[in-house]
Amino acid sequence: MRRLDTIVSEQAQRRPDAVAVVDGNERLTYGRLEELANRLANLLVGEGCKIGDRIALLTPKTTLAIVSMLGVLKAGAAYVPIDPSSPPRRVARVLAACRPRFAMLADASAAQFDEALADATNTACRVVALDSGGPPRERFKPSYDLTDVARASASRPAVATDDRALAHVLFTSGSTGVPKGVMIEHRNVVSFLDWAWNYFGTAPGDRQSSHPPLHFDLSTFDVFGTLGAGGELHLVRPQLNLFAHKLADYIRTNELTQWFSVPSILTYLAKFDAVRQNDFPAMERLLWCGEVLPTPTLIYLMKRLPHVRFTNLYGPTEATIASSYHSVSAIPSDERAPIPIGTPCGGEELLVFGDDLRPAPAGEVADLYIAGAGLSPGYWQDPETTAGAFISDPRKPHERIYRTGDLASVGADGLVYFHGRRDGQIKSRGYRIELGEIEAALSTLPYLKESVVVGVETNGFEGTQICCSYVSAEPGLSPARIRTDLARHVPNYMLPTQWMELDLLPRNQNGKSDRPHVRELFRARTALREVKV
Amino acid sequence: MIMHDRGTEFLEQEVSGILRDQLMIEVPGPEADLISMGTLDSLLLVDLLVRIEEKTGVSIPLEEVELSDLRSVRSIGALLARRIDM
Repeated sequence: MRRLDTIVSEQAQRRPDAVAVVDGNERLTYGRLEELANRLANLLVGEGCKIGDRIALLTPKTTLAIVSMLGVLKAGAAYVPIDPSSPPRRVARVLAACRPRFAMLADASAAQFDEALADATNTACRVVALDSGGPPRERFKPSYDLTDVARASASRPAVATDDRALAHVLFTSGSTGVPKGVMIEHRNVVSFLDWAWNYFGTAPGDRQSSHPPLHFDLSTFDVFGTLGAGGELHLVRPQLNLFAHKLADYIRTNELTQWFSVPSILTYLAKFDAVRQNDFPAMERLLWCGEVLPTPTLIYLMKRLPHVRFTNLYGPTEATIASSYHSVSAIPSDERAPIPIGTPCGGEELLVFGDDLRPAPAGEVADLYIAGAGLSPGYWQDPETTAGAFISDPRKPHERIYRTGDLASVGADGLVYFHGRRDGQIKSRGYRIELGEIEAALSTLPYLKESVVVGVETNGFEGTQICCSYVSAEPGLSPARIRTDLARHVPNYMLPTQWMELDLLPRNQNGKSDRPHVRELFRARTALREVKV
Repeated sequence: MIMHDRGTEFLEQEVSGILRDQLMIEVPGPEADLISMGTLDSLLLVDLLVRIEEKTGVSIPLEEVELSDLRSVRSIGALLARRIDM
């Protein structure tokens, strides 16, 4: 039986002096990582942490954040990473839903946490301060700090738990305006890692990027996929995302052997031509997941990096990290050729089913379901949504399949192809966004009569743009004011970039907002602008 | 050190004007930290640089920009002033 914390402990016993985590100039060895995580776990257990407790992580991605994740798991608890860019009101909802017993708090997130507590009055968690501590805050006082961690025992805590225990709860956008918590067990992740290590040939000494933020499901692959295999985990600072050339420099200087990110980052590198011919000589593999990679970006990278293996990973958080993969063997000859989401990873099944829950004929676009070892037990304290998304497997009724909401087809080559979404969910820069969550937040603004939010595809690296059309109840209302107010409810990446005031929203025959019509209005306006330029 | 005179003040107003009127982003003040507030991401940065060039004729190649140049409306104004001097 292996858990996420035990696979890292094994590496620490084998090679205690090897480097585990690199953050700028800071390097943490496996031995020290193990020791710090043990001390933290012993502190938490000694202070009343129980198996199955939730512990909030409010911290940017730092070495101490990685220590915190491991320490929480060693204590038999599950961590809940909080998006550092999320507005306090949204954080409050997550805290109120998961009721953490402790919060691991970095200075950088202290103000966010303090403001969130104003809205999450039922939250009575004790705070472990991860930094020296900033100015005193109004609504909380840390109960513990790093000196308490240093005083706790360094021996491995004896906690009777197994691989069916909850490892983390990841909150994603919810269509009704309330974030949904996807529960992930240790065994869900370990199953994916077993496949990935074997397929990619991960080995001790590998230097792997840790690019997505911790509240992203993909970061689980970076963190445990590297530390469970004895590699070096290189934490990429989010500020680097602003500078394509600096990001390329970072990959070069750190001689990364594996890069894994959402496609928009790769397209950003291509757009600014930041990659040289035969660049990144140490790199063995480049992986992406989270949304569709534009084929021109792939062609750009494959031409410059002939020594690298390029692999597309696909899968929703509910099925843990990724459920299918496709390595592209030859440079695509056509810029419009779609990249398949491919074949299932070990232990997984991709099922393209029609409305009758039977396999759709080859080539036909139908609903994509996933079965297998990666399937989450469901949404945190939400049996209704869980029952709607995780249904009984028509072939084996005692097992479950997950309805992804994605549309797919099986090609003549036997590979699975992605064809967009059935519902109001979009992907923007790898973020999974329910347009309904944005609309729910807009509906709370008193000066809007009504509003509708749509995703409009673009050809460039912008991907899907979030566009909002609205009917104002106040003359002279500026979109800037709506945006400012909306930012108190949803994170920055959910804020619309295009705005359009209308006298009336277009409606379809059923009287509902006519979304395709609204999308057309935005497309027409963009086309007009391009003509003018 | 950032020189602050009437010229840079005008450039700051141009930058906050573009943010407000074209990108619909209200910045609390010229010193507000655009990075730590999470306001500026790569998408917006590229958009902002393009619009600054359209409005002022000053081109700012991304390769030549540092994080400190993008901290606030004030630092972006100073960056513009330096590019005009060049």
